Amino acid sequence: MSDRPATPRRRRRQNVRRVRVNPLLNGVDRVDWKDVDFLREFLGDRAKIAPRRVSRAGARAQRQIRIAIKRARQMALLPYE
Amino acid sequence: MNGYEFMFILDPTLDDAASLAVVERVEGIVKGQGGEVVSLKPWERRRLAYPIAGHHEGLYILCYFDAPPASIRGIENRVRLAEGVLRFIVLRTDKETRERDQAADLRRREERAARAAAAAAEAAAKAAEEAAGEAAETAAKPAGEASGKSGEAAARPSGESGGAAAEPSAETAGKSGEAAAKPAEPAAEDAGATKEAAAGEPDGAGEAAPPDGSPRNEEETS
Repeated sequence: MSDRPATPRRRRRQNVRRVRVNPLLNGVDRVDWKDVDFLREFLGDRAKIAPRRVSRAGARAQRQIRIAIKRARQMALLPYE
Repeated sequence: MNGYEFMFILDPTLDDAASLAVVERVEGIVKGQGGEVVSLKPWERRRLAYPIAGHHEGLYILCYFDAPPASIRGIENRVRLAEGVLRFIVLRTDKETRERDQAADLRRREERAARAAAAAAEAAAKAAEEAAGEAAETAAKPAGEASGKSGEAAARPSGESGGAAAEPSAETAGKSGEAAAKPAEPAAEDAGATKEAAAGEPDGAGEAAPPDGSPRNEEETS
């Protein structure tokens, strides 16, 4: 607003590691392959499994998601493409 | 003896008697190989994500059984030959996971039912609004009274989330239409559950599009 100085000082971007948090995975310690609506959140438009960069899942969660999606695909609960 | 989770998809074109026969045959296979069936229930009739053997729909049956590990191969080989089974999967589980999965499955089922009921209630409210609007146009006296109430309430839900909308619409739907009363009642009860489910979706949307959220996070941390 009006209080702001004319030349705002550029805040230096700190090299702080952002915490990986995916709100979807809160309280989830086991991924069920039958929970189609949950798994669908991790599929993109082309039904590809979201990478960890996007899913923000830890290694363990991502592995469970990956396996669960593949099982769901086998049973035609989720598409391959 | 190990615990196994066993799901199979039945041919949806079979009639009830034929489906039952197939299920019994499959159950017989499991038992014949030394398995003990813990639970055997229809899971869902749902659209397949892709066609299997020309079918676009399938009747999913979920079974849990205990069996010696050596028998699984025999069970799989025999189920594979069973007519009417489009696809199946056999997975190892233990008792704890089974019970948790079953509980979670039940919860999801209830949430889905609540969502459907809420949607039905909303649709009913909308229909009531339309009916009331028509009635108001013709300026019928008894309908005019109802139109004021239901029109007001129906205007509100449109702006709010589905869960929050269930409550006001359920009240007026009960008043304005007898047919609407049935789906409206469970919707009012489960409004809390639907609200949670509805609240979960924006989270997912934010997660799916990290570019929106992440710059904000960076500023906060810096």
